[in-house]
Amino acid sequence: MENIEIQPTATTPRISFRPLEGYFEISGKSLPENSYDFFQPLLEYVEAYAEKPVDATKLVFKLQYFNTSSTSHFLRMIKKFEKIHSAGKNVEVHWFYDEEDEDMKEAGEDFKVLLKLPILIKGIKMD
Amino acid sequence: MIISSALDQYKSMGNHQLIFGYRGSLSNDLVSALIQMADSKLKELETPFRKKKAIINILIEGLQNSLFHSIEGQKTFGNGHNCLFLLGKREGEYFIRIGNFIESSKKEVLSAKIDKLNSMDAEQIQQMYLDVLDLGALSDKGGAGLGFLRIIRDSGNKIAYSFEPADDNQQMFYSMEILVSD
Repeated sequence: MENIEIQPTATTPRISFRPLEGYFEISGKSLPENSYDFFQPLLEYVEAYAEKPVDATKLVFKLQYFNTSSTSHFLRMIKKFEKIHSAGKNVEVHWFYDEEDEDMKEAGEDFKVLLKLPILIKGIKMD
Repeated sequence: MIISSALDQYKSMGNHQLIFGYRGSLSNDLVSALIQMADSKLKELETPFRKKKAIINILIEGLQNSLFHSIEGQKTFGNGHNCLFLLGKREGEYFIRIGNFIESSKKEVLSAKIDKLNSMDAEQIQQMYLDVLDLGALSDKGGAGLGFLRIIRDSGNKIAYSFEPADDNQQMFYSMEILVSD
């Protein structure tokens, strides 16, 4: 599988998917006009990855803000990684938030309620 | 040619405690630009981070809702999917007002939906948010209806709304006002 590197825009996040390293990162702002069009190809990519994942997979979120239709797609994506985890592989979700941003911390906690794989929530300094 | 007093307009905007406003056609890039502008204005006013974030989230959902669900207003109101957007602060509360044209036939469904959400307490709203999010993740199209839940959850207040008749019976001007306590 080839890497995916998508540069951020004012309304879409930066995407860095490096399957050979088991590293998947979504960062920045996510308020696409059509979340489905933006995320569906990425979800299909992750589904293909899930068939032959490496031993340890890390999914990293570093978001500033997002719209609610993006949230549904984030959840759909994490659920695909959850399947890899239930198949016995090592999978971690790292949900980073700006240390001032309690709202983003709570968004990570929402996912924790709905999912069974390890989600690490951590405040960091963001630009 | 004499123009009307700019100073009067300047004072009038101040009297309404406006931070800033926009009237006109929307695009998603413009939504993003308005959010950036709101963000820097709120920083200037030293709005606590939590309040600023709540306002930004409400703007994202409210303006995109307006962008996706409004209809083209009649020519007398200008071309395009016009909206009204105001952000201001009065008596220690921020107010956000967003208005746009909708088909009159949508009024019943929309007001019933908001009334139902307004009758719920914070815990019920949070539970419903999680339920709709989880359910939405099962479908391709995502969680429809999460926007209003997020607006209520983040504002901590009810949504006030109004429907005003536009030029004929086919369309109305729908607006909502959301308060965020300082």
